[in-house]
Amino acid sequence: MVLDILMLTLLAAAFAGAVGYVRACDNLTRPIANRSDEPR
Amino acid sequence: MTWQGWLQIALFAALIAGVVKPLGGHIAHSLDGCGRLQRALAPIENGLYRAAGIDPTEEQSWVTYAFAMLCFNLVGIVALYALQRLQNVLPLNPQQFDAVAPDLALNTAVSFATNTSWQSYGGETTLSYFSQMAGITVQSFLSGATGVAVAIALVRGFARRSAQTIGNFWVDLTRITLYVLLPICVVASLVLIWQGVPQTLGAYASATTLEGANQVLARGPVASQMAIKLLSGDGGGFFNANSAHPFENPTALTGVFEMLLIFLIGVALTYTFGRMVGDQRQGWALFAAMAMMFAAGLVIIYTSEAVPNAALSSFGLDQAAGTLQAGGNMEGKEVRFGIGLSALFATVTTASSDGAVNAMHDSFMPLSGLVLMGNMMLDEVIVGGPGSGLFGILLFAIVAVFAAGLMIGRTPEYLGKKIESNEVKMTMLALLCVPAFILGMGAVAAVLPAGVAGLNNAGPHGFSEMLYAYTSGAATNGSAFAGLSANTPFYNLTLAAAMFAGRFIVIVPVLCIAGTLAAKRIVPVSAGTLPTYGMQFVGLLVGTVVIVGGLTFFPALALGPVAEHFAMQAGLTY
Repeated sequence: MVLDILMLTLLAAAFAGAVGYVRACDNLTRPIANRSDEPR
Repeated sequence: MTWQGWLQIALFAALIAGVVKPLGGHIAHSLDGCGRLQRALAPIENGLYRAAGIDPTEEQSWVTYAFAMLCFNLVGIVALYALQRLQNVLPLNPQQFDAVAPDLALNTAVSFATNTSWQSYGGETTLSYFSQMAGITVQSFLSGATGVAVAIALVRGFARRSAQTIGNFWVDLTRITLYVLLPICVVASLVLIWQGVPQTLGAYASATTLEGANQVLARGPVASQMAIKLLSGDGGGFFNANSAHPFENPTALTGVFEMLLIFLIGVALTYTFGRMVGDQRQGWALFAAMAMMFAAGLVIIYTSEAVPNAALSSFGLDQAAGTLQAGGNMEGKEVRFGIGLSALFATVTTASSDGAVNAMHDSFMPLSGLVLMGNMMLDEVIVGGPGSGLFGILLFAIVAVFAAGLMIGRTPEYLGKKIESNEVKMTMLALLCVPAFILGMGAVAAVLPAGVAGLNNAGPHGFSEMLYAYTSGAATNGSAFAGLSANTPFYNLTLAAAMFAGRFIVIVPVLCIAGTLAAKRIVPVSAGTLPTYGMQFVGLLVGTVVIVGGLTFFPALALGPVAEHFAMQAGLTY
C-alpha cells in the first residue's frame, strides 16, 4: 500500500509537470504583452 | 543475401505502396464523418457522445485539446495500474497470477498508455487474461488513437486559416477508434486466427512431448491483442518472445502481414495529410522521404546480417547460405524466418514506433544495432507510430524550411504558413528534449551501480544495451535489445519517466504549433516560395533529419555499436 501511494504520487507529480509544461508553452507563444509573467 | 530475401522485401514494399492511397483516403473520410461506414455507425458514435456528455460540434483551442489529451491519458495510466495491482481478485485469471509489483505495474501502465509498450515482464507469466484484454489491449487502441488525433490536429493547423481552434479531441479519438482501428483490427484478428494464432479464454494447455515430458503451452486471447498491438504501434507481445513466438507469428504469411499492419496507418497518414492540406504532392513528398530513409537502413541491416560473422569464421563454421540453412548471422533469429524476414522485421519495428520483434536485436551485428538505434533516435520520422510519425516528420519539415529560409534570406513558409519564432521555439523544444532524456538517463544508468547491475554484457555492447533501452523508451518504441535485466525498481522507474517524458514532451509543443499555425493566414505562393514537394525538398528533409539525428547521437553511438564493430574486427567480443 505504501508503495502504491508512492507510485501514484510520482504519477501525480509527472502529471502536474505536464500541466505546467502546457501552460509554459502557451505563455511562451503569446505576444509579450499578454504573457502572464509580464508586469501589467 | 538471397533472391528470396529480396523478393520478400519487394513484396512488402509493393503491399505498402498499394495501401497508402485507399487507407489514407478512408482516414480522411473518417475524420470528416462523411464516409459510408461513418454513416452506418453514426448512431453508435452519437450515443457515445451523449453518454459522455460531449458536444461534438464544439471546437477546442490547442490548450483545451492538450488538457483533454493529458487528462484522458492520466486516467488510462491509473486504470491500467489498478488492473494490474488487483488482477489476483479480478476475473479471467485461470493461471492464478498474483498482483503485479508496484514499480512494474507503473512501468507497464505508463508504457502502454504512452504507446511505447516497453515490457519489463513476460506476458504469459505475469498478466491475467483480464489484464491483457481490459488493460493492455484497450490502452493499445486508445494510445494509438491519441497519436493520430494529435497528428490530425497539427495538419488542421496547416490547413485552416485565421482559426482559433484545432478540432475536438474527443471527437477525433472516437472517430479514429471507431472507424479506423476497430474495423481493421476485426479483420486482422480473423486473418491471424485463420493462420493459427490462438484466441481462447481457456487455461494454458498441458501436452506430452515425444520424449514423454510434460509441457505447459501458454495460450489465451492472443489474436485480438496481436492485431491492435501491431496496428497501433504499441507492439507489446502477449508472450515474452513477442512475434518470434510461433503462437504470435505462426507462418511466413503472418510474418509479412504483421509488418504490413505495423506500417499501415503511419504510411497512410501521409496521404491523409496531402488530402487535408489540399495538395497531394505534399503528402507524397513526406512518403518519399520516409521511404528513402527506410530503404537505406534496411540495406545496411540486411547486408550486415547476411555476411558471415567474422568472429565465428575463425572456428571454421559453415555460414554460407544454401538449401539447408539461411547463412549469415543466425544467432538470435528464428530458423523459419531466416535473415531476410528478420532484417526486414527489425527495420520495420524500429522505423515505426511499434517495438514488436521476431528476432533478438541483442544478437544482431554491431552495425545493424547502430541502425536499429538510429531509426529510433531519428525521433520516429521513418513512418513512425500512428500519428507520431507524421507529426515527427512535420517537425523536421519546419526545421528544413527554416534552414532553407535562412540560407536564401527569406521568411520561411510551409504550406502557405509563415514559420516564425513561435513555431521554431516549439519545434526545437520537441526535437531537443527527447535526446536530452535519452542521453542524460543513459549516462546516469552507466555510472550508477543500479544501472550497471542489469547488464548481461561488458564493454561497448553493455553500453549499447542501456542506450537502446532509454532510446526505445523515450522514442516510445518499446522494443528491447534483450540483453538487459530491466525488471528492477531502478529501470522500471527511470524508463517510466523516459516514456512519459518522451511522449508528452513532444506532443504538447506539437499541439502548440497547431494552434499558432491555425491562427495564421495563408500566404500566397510567390517566386520566393520554396517548393515543398519534389526531390529537392525530399533531399533537404532527409538531410535535415540525418544531420540533426547524427550530430545529436553520434558520440553515444561511437561508444557503443561503432566501438563494438571495430573491436569485433580485431577479434574482441563481449
